[in-house]
Amino acid sequence: MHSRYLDIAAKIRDRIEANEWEPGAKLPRLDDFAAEYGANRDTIGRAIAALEAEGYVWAVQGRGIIVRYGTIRPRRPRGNLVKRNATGTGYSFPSATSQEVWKHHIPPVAAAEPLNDPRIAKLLKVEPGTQVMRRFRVTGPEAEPPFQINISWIHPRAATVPGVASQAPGPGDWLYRLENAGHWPISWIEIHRARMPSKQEAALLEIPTNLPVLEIVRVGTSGADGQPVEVTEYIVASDRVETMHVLHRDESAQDPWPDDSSERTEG
Amino acid sequence: MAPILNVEAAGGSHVGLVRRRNEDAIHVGPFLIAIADGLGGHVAGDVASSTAIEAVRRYDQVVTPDALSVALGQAVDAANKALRQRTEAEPDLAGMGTTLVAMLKSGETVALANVGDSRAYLLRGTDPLHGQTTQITEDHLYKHLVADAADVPNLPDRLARFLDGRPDGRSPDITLLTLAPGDRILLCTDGLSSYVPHDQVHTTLANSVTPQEAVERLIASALAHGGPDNVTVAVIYVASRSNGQRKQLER
Repeated sequence: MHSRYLDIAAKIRDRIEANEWEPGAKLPRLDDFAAEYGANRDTIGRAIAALEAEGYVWAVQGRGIIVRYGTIRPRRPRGNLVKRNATGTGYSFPSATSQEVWKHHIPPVAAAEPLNDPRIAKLLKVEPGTQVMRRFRVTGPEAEPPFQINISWIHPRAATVPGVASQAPGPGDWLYRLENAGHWPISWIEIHRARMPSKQEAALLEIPTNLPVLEIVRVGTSGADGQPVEVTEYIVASDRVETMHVLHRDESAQDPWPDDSSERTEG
Repeated sequence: MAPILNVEAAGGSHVGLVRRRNEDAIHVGPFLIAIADGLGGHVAGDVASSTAIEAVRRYDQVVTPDALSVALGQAVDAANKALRQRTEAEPDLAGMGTTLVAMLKSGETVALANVGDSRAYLLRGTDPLHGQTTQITEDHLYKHLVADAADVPNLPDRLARFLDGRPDGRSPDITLLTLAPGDRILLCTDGLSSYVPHDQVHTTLANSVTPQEAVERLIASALAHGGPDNVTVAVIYVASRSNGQRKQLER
């Protein structure tokens, strides 16, 4: 026999798909649904949990049940160009464009913290446990749910550069300050991995915990001494991004095939 | 106290001298101005652009300044959904797509949304002759996405983002702008920006007395340069209200 909560979940799902509530809007409270469907609050709660697992809604303690971007989740291409930001001194890193200032979804934090992740510590070339200036932001394009978590670790030799610990108006302003203080030009590499989010990451990105994330670790190397000056970890909701890559021919694949190669396969 | 601004807008579209069909669409309303350029080489570019403009038209209404970006984001989302519904109803239209550049205003704040390579420009300064006209949108082309786009034939100038109704719809760039007296804003399709030199666009925008005059002269310039593509422009002039008008408003 079909479960009552699944019937109710299907009804609410149909209403979401019919755009009864805009993405980002709050659903009626559990008690209201309970009255409407003549079910008890617990059954409604199970229906909502089912819809949450399907990615339709997102239940936030203290805020209610929010409709996610339903069937249309805006996706961003992500390339490999770092641009000067048009609004001030600073950079736009992929996936942001040069004209954008991304929205902060929580107040940004900049403070010294122990760097305990051995992988990040190794990339920054510090001992695990070292006190390191950490910048923490949750950002994304305007009018969209949070796109990515950004955690930057700034090498101790550069952490005293004025302005690096403050939140300047433009994006990437702290990198401009690092470069101005003698690290020009910083060059970057990125390491991309897919993984599951932690419970806290899922909450910050407003995604279910069963949606994978793209984890990008960027290492910025100082142009002055050739050593790492910052390591930034991005955690991006995987349904919001697609990465774009041009493949290049190795030296071994540069020259045209010899004329006899087709004959060889025939023979 | 915030300045009380008078905002005047005009728009126009021309098929050009080469194309048979105008695949651009435009809406100029009291709060929302939007331009869409249906993708050439696809079926029914004109259906795509007009469907998108029809969908965003509903968002031409009063919103508070702090709700601007979300309202405009919803408008772009609605345009994408409308394209999807249209292609579901008429499968022959599958593959159609469009750019969209739109501006929604509330008081002295505007939000700009962009998907594709239609553009917004800003001319700032009370003396336009000494100001500069700068592009305030980024063209969503592969050459602006990856450094090595030129290594692939024809890739650099292809659109990296546009609206075509796919369920994982493309994210628009949304930026906020605070208007100042003397500002002039131009929205246009590449039928203008690809063929009329930037200096001439600037001079025309700076020297025209009214937005309507600017629109007519810009379209005439595109035609004078051969009119190879459809051309669509919208022009917005921002001025401070005269004392008489201000009194009227305060009363």
